[in-house]
Amino acid sequence: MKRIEVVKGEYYDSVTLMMVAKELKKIQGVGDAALNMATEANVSIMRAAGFEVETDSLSPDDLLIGIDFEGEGIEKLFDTARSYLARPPWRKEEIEAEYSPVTLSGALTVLPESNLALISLPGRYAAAEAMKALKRGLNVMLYSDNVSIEDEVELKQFAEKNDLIVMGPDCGTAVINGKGLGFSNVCPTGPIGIVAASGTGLQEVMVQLSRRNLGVKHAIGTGGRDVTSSVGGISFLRAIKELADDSEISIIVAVGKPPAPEVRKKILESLREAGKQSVICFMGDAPRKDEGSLYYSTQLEECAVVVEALHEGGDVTLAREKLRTEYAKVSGKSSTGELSGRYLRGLFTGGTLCYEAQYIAQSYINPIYGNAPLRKDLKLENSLKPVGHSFIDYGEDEFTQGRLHPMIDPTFRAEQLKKQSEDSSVAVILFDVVLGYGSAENPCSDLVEAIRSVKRDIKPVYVAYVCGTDRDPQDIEKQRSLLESVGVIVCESNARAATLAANILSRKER
Amino acid sequence: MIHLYPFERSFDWNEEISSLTVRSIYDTVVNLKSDSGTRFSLLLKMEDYLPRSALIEALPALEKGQEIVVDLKCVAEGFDPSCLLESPKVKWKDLLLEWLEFLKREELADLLDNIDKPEKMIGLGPGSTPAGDDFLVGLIMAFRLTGIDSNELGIDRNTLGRKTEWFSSEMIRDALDGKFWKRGIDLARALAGDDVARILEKAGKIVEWGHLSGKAWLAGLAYGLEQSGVY
Repeated sequence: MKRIEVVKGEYYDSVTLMMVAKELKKIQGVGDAALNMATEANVSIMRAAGFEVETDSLSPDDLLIGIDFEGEGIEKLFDTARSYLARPPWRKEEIEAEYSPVTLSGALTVLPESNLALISLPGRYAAAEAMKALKRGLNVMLYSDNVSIEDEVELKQFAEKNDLIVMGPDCGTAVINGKGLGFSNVCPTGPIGIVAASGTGLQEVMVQLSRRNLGVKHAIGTGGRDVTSSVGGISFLRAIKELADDSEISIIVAVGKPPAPEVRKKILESLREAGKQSVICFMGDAPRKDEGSLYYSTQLEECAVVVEALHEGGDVTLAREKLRTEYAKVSGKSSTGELSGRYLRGLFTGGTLCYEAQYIAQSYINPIYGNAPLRKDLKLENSLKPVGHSFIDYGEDEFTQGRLHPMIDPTFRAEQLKKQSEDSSVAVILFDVVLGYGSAENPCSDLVEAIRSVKRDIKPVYVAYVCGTDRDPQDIEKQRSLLESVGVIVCESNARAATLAANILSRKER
Repeated sequence: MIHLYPFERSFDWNEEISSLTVRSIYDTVVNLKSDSGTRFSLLLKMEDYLPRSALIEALPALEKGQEIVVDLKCVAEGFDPSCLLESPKVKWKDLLLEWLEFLKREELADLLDNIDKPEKMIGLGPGSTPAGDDFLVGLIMAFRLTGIDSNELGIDRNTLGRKTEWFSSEMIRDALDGKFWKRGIDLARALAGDDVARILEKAGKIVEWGHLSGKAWLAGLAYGLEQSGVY
């Protein structure tokens, strides 16, 4: 029996909601439990899971508790859910814990020398808090998404006037003086400075640099919208200036999706003025010739390879050629066993990884649909019902309003992985796993369980990339082994995984 | 009759009480009631010190209502619940004031409605010790720290027993007499100094105390300091 209960006007953070749902699922007889704020997207997801949700009087401030329970006494489970919300059972007695300030003023009393505030609140509250922080002289990392473009521009203009920077909104990753904020991999500190309008793009470049023994001092995220015409690259340009002024940084890396033309022009001018070697990776851009101190790449791993060559005083052209040879070898490994179905499905948690994979795959297969497609006309009507070749970014706003990002809570993406695996038209499934601080403790376990539970005679071929370093807390070798134990082909970069997945299908088509 | 032998006592438990009745039993604390209705406590942990309490190595199996004798011969003095205290430093003001935010919790709404009526706070709100009583004790401590006479609060100590439960009434009476629990005194001492790590440690030991008790106590302290005009 599936039932829904609405708790009016009560907000809970998404970590608490995830944890309560997990606790409820441990109870015998509970088939499913979902707690979500009643946003439009979450209502769709809960309906897709079979819960009947009446939307007449619902608002995004209401909490939906959905429980699937075999047997009598489902009411008691709702009582249990409410009691868990009031007093989380996983929280240990915190008598010995240090007090953590709950207001900005309180925090500044404790740490008066602070110069950065990290804001992670529901989008509609975040801008006001960010402005408060700026007015207190703090730089801001705005982790929250769903902040309006008008608010973003106002915040960034105010910051710029006051020699401050706003990283975000929707900035999930940054590294300041070698210390990671938000989602961040454990990488060495070194002479590279990165400015990025993409979160997982930044993580992938840092991870690939780390695998080449290169460290990063600062990695400044700006949020994806910063490089659009509306915002004008205010934070991106500010970050380049900061990196240019830092004498410990010898190479600047700029990463993102292609900026608006006028913003691109300003970024390139700014990098030229910086007087340092710079590597620019605007994915999806037409390939460009290097000019002076500026080097171009169109993929994330290539970006790291170029940085490595520059750092070692090597031949950049040779390094690129070597990489291309390695990709050709990856393509050559695309002969697999029996293949059932026709389509490739990319199921991603990282937005930029999804974008890069589409960009690579489109050279082999077409058209590719998605919830964040390369061409607007290829946008899926319903992200929960992919068609043909489709790439879904489960970190998009539609999936993260009032619920956790899939890098933190892998369960929803794992459910979708199972669902897509059982679609007889699907031949290959490509997915990412992002490790590091902020990500789930054991992100592959749900995925592996999902793959094991797939009911289909010939399962799809699974190709994955694990974005992480050997110092990340999740133990990258363990995560890879878990995936390999259920037959997943694990690649060394996102680009290689996308190349392989698309090649498997294109070979079949040929 | 069971005889118990503590190894250390608070300064204010200096008389032999021949007969005490077990009133409530917790993992590390046993509360005892004298014939005159006064609370005494036996504790396993030093940080739980409160007025008229003593530390003991181990607690035997006891039952509510059981009569016991606590032997205080040759027991060392430890905690002083009425030690003189300094006013918190003004630089911690913003940290202190955020403790008033606890009153915005739905369960503490009644306290917020009666914040300027101390007499109405007695016995008000949820919790085994009503949160209003915890708030009042924090408030009284703030008055003491800033040299304000707690009589200004207009609390009638003689009617406390009728207005709230026994342990709470004893707690408020002790506060009016200038005697407080160790966690509160430790925090007050930290707030009078410059060591922020110490403040966070001591506040941390209070904020999660009970379901709401610690939060209500901190809110009372903050409100009292704000009312004192020191800030």
